[in-house]
Amino acid sequence: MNERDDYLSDPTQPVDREVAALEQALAPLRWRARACPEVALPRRRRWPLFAAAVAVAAAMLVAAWFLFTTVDDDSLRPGAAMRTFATKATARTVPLGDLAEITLHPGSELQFRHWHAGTQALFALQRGAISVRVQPPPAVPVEFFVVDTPVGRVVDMGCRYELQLRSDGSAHVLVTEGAVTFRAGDRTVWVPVDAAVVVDARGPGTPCFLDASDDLRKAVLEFDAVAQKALDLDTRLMSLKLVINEIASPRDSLVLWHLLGDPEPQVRAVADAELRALVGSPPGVGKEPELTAADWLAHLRLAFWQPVRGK
Amino acid sequence: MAGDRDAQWTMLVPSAQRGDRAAQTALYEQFVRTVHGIVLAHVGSQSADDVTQEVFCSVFASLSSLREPAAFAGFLCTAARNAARDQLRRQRRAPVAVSPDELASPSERPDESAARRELAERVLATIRSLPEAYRETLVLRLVGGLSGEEIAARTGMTHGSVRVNLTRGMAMLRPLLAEAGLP
Repeated sequence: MNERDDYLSDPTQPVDREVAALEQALAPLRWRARACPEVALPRRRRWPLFAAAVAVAAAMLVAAWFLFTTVDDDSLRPGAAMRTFATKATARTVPLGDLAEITLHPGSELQFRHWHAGTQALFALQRGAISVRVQPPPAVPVEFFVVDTPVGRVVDMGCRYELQLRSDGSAHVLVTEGAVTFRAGDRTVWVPVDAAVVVDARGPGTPCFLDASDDLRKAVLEFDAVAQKALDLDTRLMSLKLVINEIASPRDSLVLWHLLGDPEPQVRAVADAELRALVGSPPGVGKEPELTAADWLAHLRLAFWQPVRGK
Repeated sequence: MAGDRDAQWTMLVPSAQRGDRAAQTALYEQFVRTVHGIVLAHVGSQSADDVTQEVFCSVFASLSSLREPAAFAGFLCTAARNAARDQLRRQRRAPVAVSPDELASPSERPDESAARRELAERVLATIRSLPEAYRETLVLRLVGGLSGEEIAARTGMTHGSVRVNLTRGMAMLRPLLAEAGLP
């Protein structure tokens, strides 16, 4: 980002004349202070006897309900105590207020840990698989809905996804709307819609889109395996070359973007050069942009990682 | 920090739901420029102020249905977009007439004020020709005076997306303004 963009994003930065001229031109349209409108909330009816009678009847109904039925209340609310949901032969859906729905597949176990209003709802998948639907932002803030697994943490960025624990101890995430991050150890991967990732005890793999070629996916698996075995740099660069050879579509930028965070500077440099060659720099940035991984992420998400139409 | 302020407004929501006037006023002051910017990006300036007030009236009246205080910003932004679209439909059926007196600021001569207002309207019309994501973000920044971080906190976008929308929106706006002979 250049100086113009700094001021555009942050008005406390040195003023950019062009942007300031626009602010000045638009000044007559600024909000002119008005008082907060007074709103009459629906009046409470004051019928004490009627209310008391209704309360008694309701209490009797509730008592009868507890006496003659078995209650299976899946509802969760902020501050609710920790509890575990389990399924045997049939699926079960657990609502998180009106913010999210978690469907446990048959043979699954999910622990609800806490719901701190406005901050975080935390679950732990202990067995099986879940389908998650979270209201998209801004209804639910990104990073609010979190699921821990034995190999790492899945953080919702506004989406629907499937999370499965496999018998070999690995976790598999497939995103069907929006995006999630999967954090394991010191690595976090970004999984956008129509992409998947496998995470095992050694850490997260590199996510690929479902429409990536088989050859690219194989090359990425090989690269991840070499990285996890901490082999020498030459071996890593050779496996990187195999990945680069299979990069064909702008959507393969998902793989290259993840390599921008590689601990090895030479891998990062190759990934950066290949990314620029594949998709070019985002329009609107200066001639010599110093793009961070976050800048690239914002650009790639909008330009290349959207759902493929007509699939 | 915008994050600290956000934590504060989240705490105001339960009181506002109970009809606490001070909490409603505080939320109004925090969000009025955001709602106004969103409305302005859709309907133009003539009716933006009134629609903004209507949005707060309807949101405060229905606030008891909101279960999660942190969802307030999204609830409000969605209500603003819906109200703006409704207004746009009404305007198409019956265009709003504005008298020159209404446009003039008391400290300016009517002709100066009208000229400034006309320029502002033309710039806004050019911004409104951009895709929705860019036009809303640009209006919140250039008219509402919100920073990228504040826009992100109030609309639910990531800060990175806001920066990209601002940068790309400006890149698209520049040639349109030049073509129209605007600053």
